[in-house]
Amino acid sequence: MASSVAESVEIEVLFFAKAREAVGKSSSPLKVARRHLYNSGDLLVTLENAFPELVSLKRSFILALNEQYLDTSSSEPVTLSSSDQLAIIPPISGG
Amino acid sequence: MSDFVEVTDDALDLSEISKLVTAPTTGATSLFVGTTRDHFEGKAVVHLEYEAYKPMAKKEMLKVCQKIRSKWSGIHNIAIYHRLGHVAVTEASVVVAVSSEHRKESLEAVQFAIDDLKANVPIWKKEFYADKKSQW
Repeated sequence: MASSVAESVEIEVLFFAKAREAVGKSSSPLKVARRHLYNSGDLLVTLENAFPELVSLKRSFILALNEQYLDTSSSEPVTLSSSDQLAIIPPISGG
Repeated sequence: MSDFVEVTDDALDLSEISKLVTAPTTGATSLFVGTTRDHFEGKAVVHLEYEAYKPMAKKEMLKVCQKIRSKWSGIHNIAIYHRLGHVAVTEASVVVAVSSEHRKESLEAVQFAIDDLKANVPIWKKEFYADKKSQW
């Protein structure tokens, strides 16, 4: 199965609360390779590499893809598509 | 039977939200109002600031409403309103209102709603303390 090394997609990463303060912005575009990313590992590593300030949060956040929480305990691969919105969700404290 | 969910920078009007859910067929309207408290873990709080992932917050609030309707029959209208931005001590940050024909369902549903909101709706509060420090 041929995979195109050059093929990448541009997604939008959204930062909230402590993540927003750490990174210094509420959103940022991010180019990622168009392949399956395992959310328990690859995706977090990809985000930490792209936004090193996230490392200080020590992964105390979960992710939401297109307004749906990602189950980080699941080993199911996540495929990212162009224009996807990936949100960094620190521990919520509403109500 | 309607679900009214909202995140707003405006001050929450309890009377308006209560009237929104009350109907001729309902005999009970139950309300929960969450207000800013002046202390947290021994520190004096002067105000809270709320932030939300707005479109997802509204989606999750609607899911709370769906869960309520699947757990209790006889629920008429549900309103879940959360304020964003600066909320001073004693001011309301969240209002949950549920109407039903009889009181049991709406009382139980309101409790469920606020617990479920706190567990699932992407909203964050930042505490501002009297000693000028702050914390998420």
